[in-house]
Amino acid sequence: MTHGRRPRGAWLVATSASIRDVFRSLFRQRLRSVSPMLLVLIVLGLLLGFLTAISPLAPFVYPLF
Amino acid sequence: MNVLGISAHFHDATAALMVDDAIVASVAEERISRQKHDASLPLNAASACLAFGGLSAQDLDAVVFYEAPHEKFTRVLASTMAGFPRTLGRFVSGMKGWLGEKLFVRNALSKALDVHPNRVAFSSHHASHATHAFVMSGFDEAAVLVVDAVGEWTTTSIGRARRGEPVELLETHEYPDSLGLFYAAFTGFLGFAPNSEECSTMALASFGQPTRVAEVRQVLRLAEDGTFSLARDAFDLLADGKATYTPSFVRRFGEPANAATVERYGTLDALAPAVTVISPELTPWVDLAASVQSVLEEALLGLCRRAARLVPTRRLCLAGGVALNCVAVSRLAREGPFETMFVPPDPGDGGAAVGAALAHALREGRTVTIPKSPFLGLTPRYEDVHAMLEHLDPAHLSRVNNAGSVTCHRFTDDDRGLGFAADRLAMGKIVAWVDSRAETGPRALGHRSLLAHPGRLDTVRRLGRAVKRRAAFRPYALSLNATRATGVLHEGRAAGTLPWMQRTAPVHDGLRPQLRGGVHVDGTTRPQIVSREAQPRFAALLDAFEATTGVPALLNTSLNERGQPLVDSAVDALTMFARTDLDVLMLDTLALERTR
Ligand SMILES: [Fe+2]
Repeated sequence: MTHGRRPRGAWLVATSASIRDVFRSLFRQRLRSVSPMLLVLIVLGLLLGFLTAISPLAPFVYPLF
Repeated sequence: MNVLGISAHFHDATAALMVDDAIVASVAEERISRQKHDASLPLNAASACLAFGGLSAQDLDAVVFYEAPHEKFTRVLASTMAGFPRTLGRFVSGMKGWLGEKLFVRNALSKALDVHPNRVAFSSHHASHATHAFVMSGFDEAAVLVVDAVGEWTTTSIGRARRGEPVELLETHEYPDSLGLFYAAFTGFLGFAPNSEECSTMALASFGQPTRVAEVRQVLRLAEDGTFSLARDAFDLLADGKATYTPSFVRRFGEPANAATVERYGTLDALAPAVTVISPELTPWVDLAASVQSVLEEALLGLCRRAARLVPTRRLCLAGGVALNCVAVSRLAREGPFETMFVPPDPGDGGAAVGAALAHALREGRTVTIPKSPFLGLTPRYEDVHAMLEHLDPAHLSRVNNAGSVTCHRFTDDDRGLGFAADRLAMGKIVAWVDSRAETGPRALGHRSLLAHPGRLDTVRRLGRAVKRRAAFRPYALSLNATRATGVLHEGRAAGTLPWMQRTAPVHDGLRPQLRGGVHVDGTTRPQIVSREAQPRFAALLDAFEATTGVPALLNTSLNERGQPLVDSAVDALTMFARTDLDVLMLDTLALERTR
């Protein structure tokens, strides 16, 4: 049986599934206290991703960190 | 069910393909990318596996990653945060890597293979190892012991396996108590690369006496019930690079090996007479290696006894990177509570890619199979070399390293080719032997091998110096036909189930001189017992060599240069022939011979 290809917007489905898995795993490991830090990291990660997507800014993003 | 198993992001990234519930291929990314221990997502290997199976990614029912990255991420997050503010630097550098592809494996695989993200699944790291070992063993039921550095959180697990069912992990031991990380820390302390050159620690151990066991047991504490723990103040497992030990560790064991010590290891010789006097400068180092090896073996024996209590059965499957320690495997086979033991030929993270695919299919209620053979790699395209030689004068090959002239022989009859190779081996030539599908795992098993007469020490020394460029204290292995095994080796309980260099075995005294090149200072070898059914051509070569020389085994080492992965394609082999001091390259019906 052949299956479909990767649909448009799949990155959003896949990325949010991964983030959900991390939070679940933190709760299961009784590491709830780490979740605020994780939230900050994810926001930072998304910001970085966004900034690197803007081509005039991209070369300055990584040296900044 | 068609499943692609993937392991990546630590070392030895691998792709494995299951077609209609049967594993058909397993390829390490390093064999194609030519970067040793390549850990990046194995996309070249995945394409090669799919091409081999005649499938496209759309034919896959699942792509299964060998561990749960989100679980692993929580371990990295929690352990780096626990050390704040000391670990701030490591936290920042670690997170940069994790917030890229490592955490978002689902997206990365879906994008690279152009499949729906819902078809990407995960198996736990130790379930992947355990399933690979058990399914390949062919046992109906067994206890399974997995010991490695660390998966998600688990470093050691004991499980119960029954045919046709997912392996049930009954007990797990968690990070940071890890035998793999313990051995890696001492490997770094002895001056080698941790998580890579553990075989050097093991080889060094044979030169020493375990006089420092009491000291080592202070940092790896073994309990009566088979459990163990690492002294928290001695190990710094988050450290990058070589040093995963702390100042407290250094206070116990002294300063770590420096460049001068590592150079001094060069004076140790695996080919030296059995009783060698070790210089006083080296004694503490080799004794430390011997003690670390001994404590590791005691820890593994304790775990085996624990597994035997948890799972009352006569059979054990052992997997995980620590199962590559063939000296320890022999001790477990000899002294452990199990009658029969199986270790897959690729017990590390490469094999876990196979295990991930198998574990997923078993969870889906499928009946899975895997060939009982390590030859799941790619077939060399001999025609590439034939095409190159049409345009390339073989004489040019000799000009690269300025040594002698090169002649090209073509055999219409395979027996004549085998006879030629056996003859050259008998003359003391070094023969590169490339034959059909490559072996999976780190050991050359007669498909991508460098072969030599084990009794010709001049050849063996030249092999180490001019081709392999490796330290003289590291021993070579022997390949012999199954019919010769009991005549050459003291087989013991490991006979039959461990034919692919997974263990060591003592060589009979009388045969040691003629096999000396493949025998270590302690009188043992790491044997490959060749089955005529699985490897008819290699078995015939061993026969031809014995008929010419009377010697029942060949020295067999991996076909690669120092720091390079195992040769994979025919062109890789030709390149190595041109670059090194190889005498003969055998490629199917073609032989290239260098004469000086
Ligand atoms: Fe592992």
